Amino acid sequence: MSFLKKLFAPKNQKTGIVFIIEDNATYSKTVEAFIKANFSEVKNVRIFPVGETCLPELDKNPDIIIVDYLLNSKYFDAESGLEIIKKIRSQSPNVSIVVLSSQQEIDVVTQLVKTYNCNYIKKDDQAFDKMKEMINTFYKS
Amino acid sequence: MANDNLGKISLSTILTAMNGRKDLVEEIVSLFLQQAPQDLLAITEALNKGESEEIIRTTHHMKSTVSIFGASNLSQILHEMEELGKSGKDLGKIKLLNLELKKECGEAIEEIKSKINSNY
Repeated sequence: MSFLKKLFAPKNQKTGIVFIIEDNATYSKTVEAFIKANFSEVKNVRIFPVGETCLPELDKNPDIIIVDYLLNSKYFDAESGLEIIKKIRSQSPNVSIVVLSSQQEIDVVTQLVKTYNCNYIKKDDQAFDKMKEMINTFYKS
Repeated sequence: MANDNLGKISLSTILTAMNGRKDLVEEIVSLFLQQAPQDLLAITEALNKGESEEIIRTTHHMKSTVSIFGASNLSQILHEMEELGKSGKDLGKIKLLNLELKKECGEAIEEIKSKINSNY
């Protein structure tokens, strides 16, 4: 999008782009399929198995970034999800971030929500229901 | 759909998530059937090396895979293995849990294949 278009674009304009930052290929493709099956507003879903590779792409202005909290369970040298969230926030302070994790420690969850203004969803059998509700709310806003 | 929550695997949750699209569910099942054995192998290799960090990572990684189908028994075993990995002790116990994991995962895979074949 050109500079002038960005400048005069309505503040709530959605791009229809969603990023998924997840190193588990089955899980990331499941989330991608879920989004495509439920949200016609989303035109482009991009998957980043390594968090660092999404940072140069933030200028595409994704509406929502779905990110795994641990993230380096497969690519051991990759940065953790928390480090990536910090970097995303510094570059894109207003993007909606949804953190997915099987993380159970309440302190971690609280930190994510309060400090980094993220939504948190536990990876369990209710995860997709909660994601649907969250994304629905976003696209209706 | 008949109640498919009686076994280790539920397809109803993922079918709802995919808005009733069985074609998408079957793609995801196909991915799962490829990935689950790879995850099990990675965990076994980590155990053979005896490296705590690797045990934690590989068990955590597989938790995401099995969570898609609501396989709570598999999630629980993986969670126990991960927590024991964090303690850096009880490698023997983790290896026993790994045997249970392989058995349960094998049964879950057969169940999922059976459900797909019976047009769940």
